[in-house]
Amino acid sequence: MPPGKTRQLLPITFVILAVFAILPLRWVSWLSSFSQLTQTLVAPISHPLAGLSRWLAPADRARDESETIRALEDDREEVRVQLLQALDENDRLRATIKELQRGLAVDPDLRVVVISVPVIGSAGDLADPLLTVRAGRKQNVDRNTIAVSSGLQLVGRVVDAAERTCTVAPITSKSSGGITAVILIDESSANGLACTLQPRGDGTLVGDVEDRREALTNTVIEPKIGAEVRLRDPNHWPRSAQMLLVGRVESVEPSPKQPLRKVVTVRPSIPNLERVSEVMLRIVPESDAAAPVLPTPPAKEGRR
Amino acid sequence: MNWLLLVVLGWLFLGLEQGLRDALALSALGATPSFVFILMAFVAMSAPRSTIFWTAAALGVCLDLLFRLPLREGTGTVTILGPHALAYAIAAQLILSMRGLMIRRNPLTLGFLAFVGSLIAMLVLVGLYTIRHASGAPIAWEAKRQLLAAMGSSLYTGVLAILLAFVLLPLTSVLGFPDQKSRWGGQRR
Repeated sequence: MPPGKTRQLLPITFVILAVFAILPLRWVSWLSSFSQLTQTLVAPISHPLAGLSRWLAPADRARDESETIRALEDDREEVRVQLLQALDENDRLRATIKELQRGLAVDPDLRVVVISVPVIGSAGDLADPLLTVRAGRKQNVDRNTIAVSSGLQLVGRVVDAAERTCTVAPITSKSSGGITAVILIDESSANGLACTLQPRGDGTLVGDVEDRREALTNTVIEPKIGAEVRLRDPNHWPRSAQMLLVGRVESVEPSPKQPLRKVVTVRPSIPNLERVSEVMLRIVPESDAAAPVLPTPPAKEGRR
Repeated sequence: MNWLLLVVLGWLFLGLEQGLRDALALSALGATPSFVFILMAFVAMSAPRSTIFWTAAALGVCLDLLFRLPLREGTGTVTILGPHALAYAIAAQLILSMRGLMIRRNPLTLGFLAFVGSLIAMLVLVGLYTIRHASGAPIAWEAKRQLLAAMGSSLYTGVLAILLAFVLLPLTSVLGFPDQKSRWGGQRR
């Protein structure tokens, strides 16, 4: 191209880009297909590098046990989640019995398909990390899909699914918003203190804890450091995610707004959720997505 | 001017940016280095004017397409074309105006220009997204936090640029960029 034309084309290009930069979001939604194309073009470089870097600096350095032990721990955690989901669901199911008796057909068995997929890079710019994962609509991944890591640690939720890749917003990313969880008082039951957690941006979540007292003594039930915190947010998260591990209580402090209430800091069991090298996607088949969850038998091959 | 090599370098640096961004991130600050901006700064430090702005536009558009902005409450992501390209163009103009005062064969020069340029680019970027957020776009955005992260990221980019200068500076002649001596010999800057 002649240099004169190039000189004319340059300002026009930047004017077009400036117009694109201010266009309403609904008018630029078609750009996501080009985004996928760019991801595909860059993947041959980024994927091996992401794998290598995550291998060199894993999300959790402490987890160096063998594959067998990890698999057994995952199975144990799966059973535990199922048990807690069962306990949590009992109350709700009792309430739905009346509706069932009125003839409403509710499938009590929620099928969850778990697939293990690698993280191939970061999708988020600036300070909000998002994970690009190599599984997409072809594998039935949709925005109901939950990403977990070893030990059924909740990693986050799929916020965008393309044909072959999807984007996961980690629970510790500020962009993922807050979650409602429960701090288990007694590890053998789903009973606990409700809390609303917000990501702080440093890998932890912080939030106020429910003020609850013992019925007989009227003493305040306080959250304990090290207690498990599990997701209980049926209004915002799919049922397949309920009771998954959010993390453990790292600190308990008086609330600056209400000194009688407590604020907890929760840290996921994997210190850097943004650096996991692979995640397990818990996919609920579309036909089951709206059905209530019930625990499935702890069949090892099933992992339903 | 070896455009093919520049395209290959662009592809390589985009891959580095996407693949290593998380691994090199400083979680406490949210600071991450930008490989692509280092390449941009290198081009802006050595190439002719039109090459610089075309490179800024191309790399910026690629970054706009590659990195998506999360929407509020984790409800999805969105691709916005333009902010990176505009930010890179403004930063490129700054580097272009400063490069005449610099000893370009010194790795510290690339480090300094990458730091200053990145800071300007990040400020423009944060400004553009903040305007969008303020005008009601449902993007998850906290200007104050992003600004702090941007400062950390710029410094980090500058430090990384010093190291990458040892790889990039020898490529000046291979890429067909005029060297500083010939410019000092009477050519316009």
